[in-house]
Amino acid sequence: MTYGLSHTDDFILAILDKYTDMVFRLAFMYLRNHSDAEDATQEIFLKLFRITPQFNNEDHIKAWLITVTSNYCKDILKSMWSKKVSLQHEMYLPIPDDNKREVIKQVMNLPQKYRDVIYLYYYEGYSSSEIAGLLSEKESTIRTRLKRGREKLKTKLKGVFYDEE
Amino acid sequence: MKSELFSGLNDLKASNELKRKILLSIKNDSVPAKDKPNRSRLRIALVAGFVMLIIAGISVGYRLLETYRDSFQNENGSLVTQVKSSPSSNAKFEILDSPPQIDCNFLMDYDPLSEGEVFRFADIIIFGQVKDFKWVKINSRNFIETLDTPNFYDYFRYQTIATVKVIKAYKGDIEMDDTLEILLPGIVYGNKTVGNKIWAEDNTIAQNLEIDSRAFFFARDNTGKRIYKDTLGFDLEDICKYSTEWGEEFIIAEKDDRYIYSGMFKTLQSARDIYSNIFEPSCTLGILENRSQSFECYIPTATFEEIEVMIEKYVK
Repeated sequence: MTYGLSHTDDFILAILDKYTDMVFRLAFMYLRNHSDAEDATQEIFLKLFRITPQFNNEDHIKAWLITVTSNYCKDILKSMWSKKVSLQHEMYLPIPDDNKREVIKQVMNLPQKYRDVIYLYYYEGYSSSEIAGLLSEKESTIRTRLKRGREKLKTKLKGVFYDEE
Repeated sequence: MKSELFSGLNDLKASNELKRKILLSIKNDSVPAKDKPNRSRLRIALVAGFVMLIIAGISVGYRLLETYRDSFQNENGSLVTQVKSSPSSNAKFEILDSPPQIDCNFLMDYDPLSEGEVFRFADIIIFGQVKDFKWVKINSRNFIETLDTPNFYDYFRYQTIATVKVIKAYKGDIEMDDTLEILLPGIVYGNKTVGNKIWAEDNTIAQNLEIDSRAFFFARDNTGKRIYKDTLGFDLEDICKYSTEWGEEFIIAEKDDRYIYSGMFKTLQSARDIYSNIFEPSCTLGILENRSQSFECYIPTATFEEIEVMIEKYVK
């Protein structure tokens, strides 16, 4: 059984309600500013409804969105580099709680290759093998990035971060 | 959701305005992709043509450069050191007296060795003082071509050669007052041209080295039995007799009155941490972006005596 995408307002809104935040967060993880993350989010959903891929189930839609968002943002970053476009200096995080904001700030300060993996593992709850599939990487690479990312966070968030594995 | 620690991300969400904008865009974007084949084909053809031009240009340019370098070498004596072990190879490296004015973090996924593995890996273990730095620019073309994703802007990689005078030797055929050259991974600026400490991924401890810094080095003898064959087609001994694999667990560096170390030294875990300001270049895909920042972090530290006790545990 496959899920086709309808272009009715209700259906589009249902999809947007369910996945926009996730796509935006992931884009923000890569691009580190609101404006670029919003542009990326808009592009991803335009692409989704433009090419209307067939999905096996709702998990498949989510996985497609993650993969496409990841690839799109990596392309944007390459393009920013090639055009020598500087990203915003200040990263605004609209998180009221100081402690929570500090944690996310430190995550955002990790190198890019750790940020997406940390986000997908700890926030979206994917396993390392699932992340490997989503990002087209070897599972060992993902595990290493998780380990290294955790180590870096432990250093930065001493006394806060603990490994749940 | 697995971790409450990251619950701050709940507040990071798309605005309703964005959702409305997307909805509007989707409704207005009524032309299906399949109605635009000519435009797509034209774009693909343009990109393909452009890529072919670039490849042809690089190929011709590289051959010209090779010719130029060979003649330059013959006439003037060269800064470029021809590979000794593989004269037919294109792999070359160049010794630099000044640090490169870029920060080319050598991004690599690696799993730090355990404490026991570091001691087994090290052919020599010394405590010494850095007397000088040189840098080496390595043509990493062959390596880069083995990556899944071509990485043209990392055509060269840079490493650092530290000249170290031995204060105390713990392992290996080394004596006090010997002077060694040790190849370190990545760029260590050594405070020669850059006032701040530069944070470099997987190179955190080495980055703190400066001229006159004192440190413990756990290094491999590149002329020893376990010959390391670099994928670039030459042996590391062509550059340096000794090398450390990474800049984290193979160096314990003096900082103030204590020694900073990689967290994998479990024996030292009871030691206290110090608080440090580190200058972090923001890198994307290995490229330094012009938006660096300083960040504060904790680096574990130990005393000289605590480190010696750990060494004695492994080296009789």
